[in-house]
Amino acid sequence: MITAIWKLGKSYLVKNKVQNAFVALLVLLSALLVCTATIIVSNTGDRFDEMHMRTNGSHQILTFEKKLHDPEAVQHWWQSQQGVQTSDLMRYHTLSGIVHQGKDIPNLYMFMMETPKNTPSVDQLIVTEGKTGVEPAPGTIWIPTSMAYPAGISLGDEISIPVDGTKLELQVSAIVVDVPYGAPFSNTARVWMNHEDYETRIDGLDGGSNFLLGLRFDNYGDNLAYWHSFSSAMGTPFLESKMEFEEISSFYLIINQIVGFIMIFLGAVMLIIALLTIGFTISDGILANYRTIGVYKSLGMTSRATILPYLLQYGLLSAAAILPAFALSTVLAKMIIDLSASSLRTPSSGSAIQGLGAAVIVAIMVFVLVLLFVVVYARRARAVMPAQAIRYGMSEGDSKLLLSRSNAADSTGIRFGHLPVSAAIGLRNLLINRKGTVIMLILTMLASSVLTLGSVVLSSIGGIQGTAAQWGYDSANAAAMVVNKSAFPYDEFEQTLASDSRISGYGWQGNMTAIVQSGSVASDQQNSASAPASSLSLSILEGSYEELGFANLEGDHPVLRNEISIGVQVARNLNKQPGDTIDVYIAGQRVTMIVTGIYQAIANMSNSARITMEGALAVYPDFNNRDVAFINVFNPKEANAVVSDLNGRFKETASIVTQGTLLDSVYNQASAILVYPMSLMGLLFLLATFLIIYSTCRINIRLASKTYGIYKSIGMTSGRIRGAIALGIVALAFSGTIPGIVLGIFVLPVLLEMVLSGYGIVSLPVILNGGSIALAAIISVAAAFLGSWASSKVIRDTSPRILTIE
Amino acid sequence: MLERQVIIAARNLCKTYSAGNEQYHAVRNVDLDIHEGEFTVIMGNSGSGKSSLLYLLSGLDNVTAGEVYFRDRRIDQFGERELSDFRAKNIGYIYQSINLVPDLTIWDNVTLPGYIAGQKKEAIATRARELAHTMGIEGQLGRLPSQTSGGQQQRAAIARALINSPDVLFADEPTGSLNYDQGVAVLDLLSGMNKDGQTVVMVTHDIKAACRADRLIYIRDGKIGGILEFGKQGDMNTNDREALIFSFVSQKVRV
Repeated sequence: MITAIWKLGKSYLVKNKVQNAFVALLVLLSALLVCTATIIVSNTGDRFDEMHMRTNGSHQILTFEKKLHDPEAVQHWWQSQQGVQTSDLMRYHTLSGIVHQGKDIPNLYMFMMETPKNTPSVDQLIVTEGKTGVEPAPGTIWIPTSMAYPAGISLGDEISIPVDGTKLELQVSAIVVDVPYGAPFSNTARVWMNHEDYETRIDGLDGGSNFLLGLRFDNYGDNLAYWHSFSSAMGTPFLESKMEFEEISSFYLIINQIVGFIMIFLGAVMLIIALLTIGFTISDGILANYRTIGVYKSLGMTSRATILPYLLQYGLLSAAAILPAFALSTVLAKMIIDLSASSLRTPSSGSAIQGLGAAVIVAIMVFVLVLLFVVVYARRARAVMPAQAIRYGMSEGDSKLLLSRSNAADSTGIRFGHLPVSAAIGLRNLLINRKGTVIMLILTMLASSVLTLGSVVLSSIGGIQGTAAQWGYDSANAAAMVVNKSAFPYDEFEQTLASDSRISGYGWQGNMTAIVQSGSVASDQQNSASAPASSLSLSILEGSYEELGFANLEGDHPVLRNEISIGVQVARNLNKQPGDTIDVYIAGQRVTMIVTGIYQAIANMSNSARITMEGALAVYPDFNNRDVAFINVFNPKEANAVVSDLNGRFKETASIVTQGTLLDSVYNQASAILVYPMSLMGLLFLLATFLIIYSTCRINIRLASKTYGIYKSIGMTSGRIRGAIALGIVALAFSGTIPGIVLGIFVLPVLLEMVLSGYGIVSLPVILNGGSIALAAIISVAAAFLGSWASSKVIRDTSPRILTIE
Repeated sequence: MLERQVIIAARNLCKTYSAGNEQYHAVRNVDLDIHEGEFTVIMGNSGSGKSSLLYLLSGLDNVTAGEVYFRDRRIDQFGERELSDFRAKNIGYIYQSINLVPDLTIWDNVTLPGYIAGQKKEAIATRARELAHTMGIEGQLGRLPSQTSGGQQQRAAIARALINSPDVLFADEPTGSLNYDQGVAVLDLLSGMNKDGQTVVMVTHDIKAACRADRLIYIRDGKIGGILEFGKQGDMNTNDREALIFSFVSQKVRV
């Protein structure tokens, strides 16, 4: 029996080679997408976690710029704590205005680091290019991947930085992975210098050196308890700047989540379609071989055995498709991961890809699903009655169905007398095989929904200038980031702004770390482990949040000193709504504030809050953090000129850029990370649409080949018949694109938001562009048309006699 | 004449097809015995139910009512596995439309039932070569059915039907799609096999083909309209036999 099954399975494979090839290609594409998505999702956290672990990465980074603490005392205290590792206390000085090959690199803010003499225990650097020793050679620097890759800086290149009226020229001798400062969209970079160079060129600059200390906790969740102890021991909370783990990790994680979600969605959809198509193909195969199956049964083949050749056929096809799909998925996933986490790429990254085991399981699941679908759809072969099959070539049920469909076509008015000939032929072609028609309808709907989602994401990224506030940023025309606070002439800068008639207003923003607790918790409970407290990044604005273009999801901006707006992550964790009160610990002082609004911010995963400068000063009168000035101009067209003028005067101590420049750099990175992989996936989906419609139409045409042969024999041109069939498919595809567009605009973004909500993005700032949505619809209809047109080639190439005999 | 054993028996056999609300009674209350080694021909007008009867006797179709026996076993009560086993080992079937599997070579078509019946590969090959020689299709074994003539295809189909040395060979108008010479050659083969002891049950319209039979059963409106016994072929010459059949059939048609 096994030999018989093998022979039949083989014959099924040899017959209908084109159809089999399409099924294999479809399984390959869907397996490719789901396996790739699985690997990407597995690597979303893993690549970052692995590098964070491998470099013994810090969870918090303390910077001492305000001379409010003795850095050595702070380091000493942390070194004495069990369960915490510290980095060396590293000297640095911030600079901006880098020039590479004669071009300014905007929006890059550099920590010029004195490289520690000992191998750091925390935040170890991993070399990706070049050779490192204990420290860079004199006149050379090590730069991080996050600075080198986006700016196109290569090993051996020279960069120059304006310092004190001269140029500091340094050669790149190594490119290193620097995890805390290497996330996508990062605009800060640590540049590692030789000790002598640092001493001679940097340390003596205005403002001198600052200090940086990295902390790594055995259990990051315990960090608040340590900070309480710190406050008790030092008699003051930590008043300098602190970068939290969420800030370090957010951009690493969020991008892969988006790519992974879209790929999983596409992969799952394509898999469902592939399975339905396989089922449909089997049904068609059984129908076409009904008589032969009857013969097999008459020769003594059992019902179960009639299914086995199909299992063999599709099992072999799937195996042949899934194995290369799996191999390809590892390559594709690596490409996408490298793109989205390029700054973590090291020479050994290839072997470090995670999630292969999960991808193998997914591939096996795809294989099993295919076999299950084969069993379900091939069940029909079990019911074949030999006598009926041999005499009539179909079951009684099918015979009745065929008759009823023919009658249905007439009863629905699809008659040649009622409709133009082309329309009647096109619509009757759709009624030949209703299951196939439904699959094509679903497919065009999904294809257009996916393309619509792609176009919505694309237009949303392209139009980010209009939605910056919804991503948690300001919408001011320009921003001046103070690079060297000690040397920055604040008064002169403010006078300049005030005297410039082009400038309509400005506001200073500073940042510090705060701790929040639910308002219902008594102050004496603050040290209790059960008290719901969390650390967050607090933004303090001197000026109006409204005027500088910040946005809330709900409620209003803080205006009064006791008002606060909070990020969605904070609101969710503490179950706060606008109007509720919240206890905030600012510089160790508890203050109860009223929540006026809730916003989302991609930075910090919305684990942040905003208050007014008055609010900060009321609690902490010495607060003087003025990190960034947001500047509005009367005429946005003059923003570039204003920025240019300001740079002319303050470039050495501040990085001043227009919002357009800032967002362009974001857009360029987003394009590299998101748009290209999504375009690739869109193309794959279009290919699948084409294949399935080609395959389904081909089956339909074969079922009705006699009819088309007769049409030809009575004088219709093959072009007219093919056109009529394509017309029907276009009408069908068009009916599918309308719900597809609705799905792509309203449903899929909601699913994406659900995925991203854990990362602090609960409402995607979507921009709809009618033109690109229409283009997406047209492309999916065009793919359907081409599939249909190509499939009907047989009508052109075959004589009426052969068509009618077939 | 020696008393032969009954190999196939039908008792009160009925088959009804439904077409919408209407019912079509293809076979009505047929009682029939087929004897071992006998060449039985079933004749009747188109739509009389002769092919339906053949399908029921061979276990290729379900009965609506009544009983069908193969020796002392009731095949209408067989489960799926038993029925498949019966089809594989006890019967061979030849169709008017030949029904070779178009994607398999003639060799694969002939040997396929052997594999289905679970025979040894060597035994299948030996038997297939022997049958190919008998049927005169040795030169066609590597070809696809579409690459051979109708007569060669039907001879391959007969070889396929005989590969498992069935107890009964059923043939449904085996010469219906062949030209005269091809038809005669096929009938000669069937007659030859019958002479060697093969039980044959054949449906035909052709009086010349019916001449080969030991017994003729005439079916009319799903019922047995009459039975004509000839005895063994040597008892009567072909012309007399044709005349007798013509007269018998004409009489039955008029009735």
